[in-house]
Amino acid sequence: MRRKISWDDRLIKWFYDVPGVVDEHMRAEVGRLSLRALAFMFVYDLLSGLVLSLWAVRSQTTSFELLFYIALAVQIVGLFAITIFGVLIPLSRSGIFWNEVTPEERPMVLRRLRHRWLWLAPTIFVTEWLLNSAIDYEQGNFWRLLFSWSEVYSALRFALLLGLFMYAFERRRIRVVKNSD
Amino acid sequence: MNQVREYRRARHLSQLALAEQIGVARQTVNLIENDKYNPSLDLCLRLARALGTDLNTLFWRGQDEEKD
Repeated sequence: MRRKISWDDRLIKWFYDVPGVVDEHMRAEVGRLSLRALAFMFVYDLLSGLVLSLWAVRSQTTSFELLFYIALAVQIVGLFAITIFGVLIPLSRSGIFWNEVTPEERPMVLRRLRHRWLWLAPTIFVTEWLLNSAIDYEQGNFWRLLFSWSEVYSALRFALLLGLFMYAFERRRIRVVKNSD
Repeated sequence: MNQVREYRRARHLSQLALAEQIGVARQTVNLIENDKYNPSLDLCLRLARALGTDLNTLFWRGQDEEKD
């Protein structure tokens, strides 16, 4: 049954990397948890902003650069904690992230996954290699940096580790479902 | 409990096949069968149509089964 996919459904599918169809149950679950996360994030932002402001005003600190980094760290930690514990873990418990396949489909799905990472890993390597060299540009000539062994090795290591981790992660999401019941 | 599972089995359909037919995830069909999710009216109608029956037969609860 072909239905038109709304932009909200596309967003859910992309953001949460949902393998299956986005149906009303998934929308309800995502909506409920996202609302909870929004409320927590709002309160957290207010409180952390208040505490940091009070600390900046009341303390004798003159190192505002340090204060900036602390504020940034507090924001990032809070954002990740609320997203992971408030949304992603409850969603994963409901089975939304599983890629359910029948026993007949499993070999084909595994093959497709391997082929996907065979071209994704080199793409990650090239992107990381170029970005890393570009960001390190202040340290020297870009082209000399680009073709230095340390940059290539660093990008290769990153691509390998990330590629292996993501392949194992996506493979673990595959669940075989008997087609009889 | 609703009669979704009974009617599905009577038609020799797997949860996956029924889910594909009505455009939802297999987990949703499983949740509906186990009374853990209340489907919308639209989904109920699609289910009834796919299983060749009506809403009353599929979902009606007797008085003694009414939840508080």
